[in-house]
Amino acid sequence: MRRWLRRNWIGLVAVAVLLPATVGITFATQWSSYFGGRASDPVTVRSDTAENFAHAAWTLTDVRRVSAASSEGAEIGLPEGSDLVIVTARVSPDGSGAEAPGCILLLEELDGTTVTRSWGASATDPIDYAATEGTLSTCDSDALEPYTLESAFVVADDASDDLGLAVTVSSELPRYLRFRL
Amino acid sequence: MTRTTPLWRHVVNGAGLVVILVIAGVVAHTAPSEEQQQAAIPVRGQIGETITGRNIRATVDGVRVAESVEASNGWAGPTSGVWVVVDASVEARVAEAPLGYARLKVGDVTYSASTRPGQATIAATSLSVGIPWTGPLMFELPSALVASDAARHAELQFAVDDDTRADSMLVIPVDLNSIDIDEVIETERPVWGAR
Amino acid sequence: MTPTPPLELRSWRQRARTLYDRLPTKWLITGVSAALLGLSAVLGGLNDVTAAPIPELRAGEPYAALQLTLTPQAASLIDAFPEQGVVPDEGNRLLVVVATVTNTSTDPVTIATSGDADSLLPVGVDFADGFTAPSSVIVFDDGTLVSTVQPDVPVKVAYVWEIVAGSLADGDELRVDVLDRENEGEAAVYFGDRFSDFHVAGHVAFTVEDLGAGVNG
Repeated sequence: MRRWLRRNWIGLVAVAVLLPATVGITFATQWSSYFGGRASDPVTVRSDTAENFAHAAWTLTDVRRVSAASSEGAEIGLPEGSDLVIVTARVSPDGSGAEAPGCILLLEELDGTTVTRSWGASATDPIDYAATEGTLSTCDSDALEPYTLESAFVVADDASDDLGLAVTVSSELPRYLRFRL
Repeated sequence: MTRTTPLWRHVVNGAGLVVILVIAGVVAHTAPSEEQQQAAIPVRGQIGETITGRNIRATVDGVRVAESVEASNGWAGPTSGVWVVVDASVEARVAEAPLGYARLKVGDVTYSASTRPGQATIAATSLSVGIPWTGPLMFELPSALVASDAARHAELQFAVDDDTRADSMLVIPVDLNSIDIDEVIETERPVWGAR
Repeated sequence: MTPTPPLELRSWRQRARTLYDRLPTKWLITGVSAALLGLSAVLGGLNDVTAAPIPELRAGEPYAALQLTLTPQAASLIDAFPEQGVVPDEGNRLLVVVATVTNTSTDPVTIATSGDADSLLPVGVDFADGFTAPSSVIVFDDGTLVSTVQPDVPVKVAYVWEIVAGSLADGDELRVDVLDRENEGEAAVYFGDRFSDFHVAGHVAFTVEDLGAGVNG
């Protein structure tokens, strides 16, 4: 047995190295193309800093949470068991000539860094919430001047306080901006 | 003269070979087919129970059968069969999505929730996460089928994605034979948030 | 005593060559050709086979396609369906073909607005923007847009095409093709049904009736 090992050790070492490497590389190429096409790499920002992302500077200016049980919630007509989270951000396109971003906004419920649930802004149709004057509800890809973005999300009232606003711009994938609220 | 292998060794080899072949045969025949590997993961429950899947949660409040329906938005449904009206409360659990798969299965045949009533049914609404939509789902079935034997073991199936492979699917058994057929049913407006 | 002659050790190549020389090549070629010609003579000769004629269907007669049974009933021209929001562009009108559709499969079937299978296609009509697919498919009785037909429940349905005004008039003969396809079954790397062999399964001749402005059937 030992003689056989001594004579064939080079081959055995090569197999021991190459076999896991082949499997690993195959998996890595497939998984990286999967993760590369989706929003999987958050650039986490604390709410008080400005961040440059997709040729614009983003700053979070305000976060409000209105409960359905409150009087304001009742006025808006929030569904039972929900809260309204209103996030306001200031977007300053840097005028670098590149197209200012068009984006998708999602409110994520975070457990550390993993996303457990997410809500979109589109579910606000059945309620009576009027956006503040002068603000936009989605990113404007033609804007050259700074503008204010206000998004309202109807979330479940058991959503934790650890929330994040995810801004996804297709040209920046897999990176995306996450403001911790 | 070289020693020949004793007879008992031949017998043992032969028996070992037969055993290995039998095991190989059993493994090959019982290996899951592609359909079984990719099948939806059923989460079963009864009418009235809140059933929780990975990305969907629903409660079926009741099932009624009628020859015609008057929906809350004024739509009146003519059909050459019957309408099975399922009152349910459905919410998503992970991300917003429409109720992509809402089917009533009787025997081998599946029926999908009709979108003809428009906003009066929850079949086309986008489900919110954690906030349920409560409203009717209407299935159009041939009248003969509702009275048949297979209808005693009908199943309601709910899933978020139209492609139900490898994800949760809520399954609720329904006995359609035991439900009286009304002439007209009036349905309520779908409500967001109530349970 | 005569010595035994040494065994002839020929290589396999030499043996193959000898065998090949023994083949009566000319005989074989002639024989096979004669057999082929004889067979084709028995089966009808080497001329092109005339294609089977496409059957003429009558309005009101059901045709059982792969997943749906279609019974085309009538064709008419109207200006618009304002209640369903089906309003054609300036200079166009709507061609409506009413048919009763029954799903004969075991799953709900989407009535294709891509118009390429189990469906109807008017022939020789000037479609607006060249779209041969129906612009909408409407349930006749309640005017809702239908996308799915349930198994074994017959529905009377109106297929609506937007056509250039003037390409059809009241009393014109319109030929509508009924399209059918085959199901190839499950594929190895593709989920769902694969359809193939899209073909015209029949013609139906209608006399078009001009129903004027906005009249629902």
